[in-house]
Amino acid sequence: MAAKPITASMPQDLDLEYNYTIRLVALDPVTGAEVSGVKFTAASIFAENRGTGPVADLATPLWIPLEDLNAG
Amino acid sequence: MASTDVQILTQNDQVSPLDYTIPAAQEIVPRAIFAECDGSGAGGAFLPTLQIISPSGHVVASCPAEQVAAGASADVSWFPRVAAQAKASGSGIQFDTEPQSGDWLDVETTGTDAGGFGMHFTDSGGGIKIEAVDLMILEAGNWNVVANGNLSMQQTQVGSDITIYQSNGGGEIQIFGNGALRTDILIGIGPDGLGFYGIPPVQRQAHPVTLADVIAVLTNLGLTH
Repeated sequence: MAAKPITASMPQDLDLEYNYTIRLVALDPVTGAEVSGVKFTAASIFAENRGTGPVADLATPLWIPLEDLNAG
Repeated sequence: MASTDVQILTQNDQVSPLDYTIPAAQEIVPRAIFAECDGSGAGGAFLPTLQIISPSGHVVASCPAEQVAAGASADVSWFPRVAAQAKASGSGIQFDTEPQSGDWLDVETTGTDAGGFGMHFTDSGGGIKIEAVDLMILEAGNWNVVANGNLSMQQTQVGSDITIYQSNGGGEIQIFGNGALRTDILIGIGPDGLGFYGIPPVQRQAHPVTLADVIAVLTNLGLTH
């Protein structure tokens, strides 16, 4: 199903360390309350890795690292 | 310190919210975030929103994207340095979206357009419909109603009236007709007859009431000059 492409802004140079959470959520435009029934698929995060630990050491099995693009 | 670019993907679909918590010994700087937002089961219109949550559970940043209608879907990309879109906040008057609902709407203009109007609504399609559950007041200094087709006014509530009332002296109620048929002004009278304030009702007649009939009634009542 074709979906409308949308671009939106996010903060730059957002240095996120251990236990920070990136959340995708659907909010009501008027009340700001969460809207039920919205499904997120094919989500991806492209990021600069500044950590010292292995990227694969992810706390949640929902996400996987695709690759270290600059590795090797 | 290591500095490599990584891409992190979801393995499964996830009903909102979708969280990614930075694991131990990790530190990342997001450059772009993408998600397909499937609103086919959404409970209403929504703003796909990226939030950054601190370890203490507080929202550090909330980045809403453009509004998506209920039932619609969108592919949303978040980047730094993208100009905020006018629709992103969900406030203000928007177009090609529905429903836009809220507690109230108060619109005021202080200038005029090229045509001299402070507000100018034009529909080039099917028409304009304004509905109110209760009272509707249209108040103006001068009020002109122009219909290029038929002009009709209908009152459907039993026991309610249609009233045309000129409440200040010096003015008149004028009705002019320029009918192409038999009559210029046609007044249909119901079973209760035609009444005038201050004089008895004129009872329904077996034949059409002429202007002479009305004058005769008024003359008998001493109301003509």
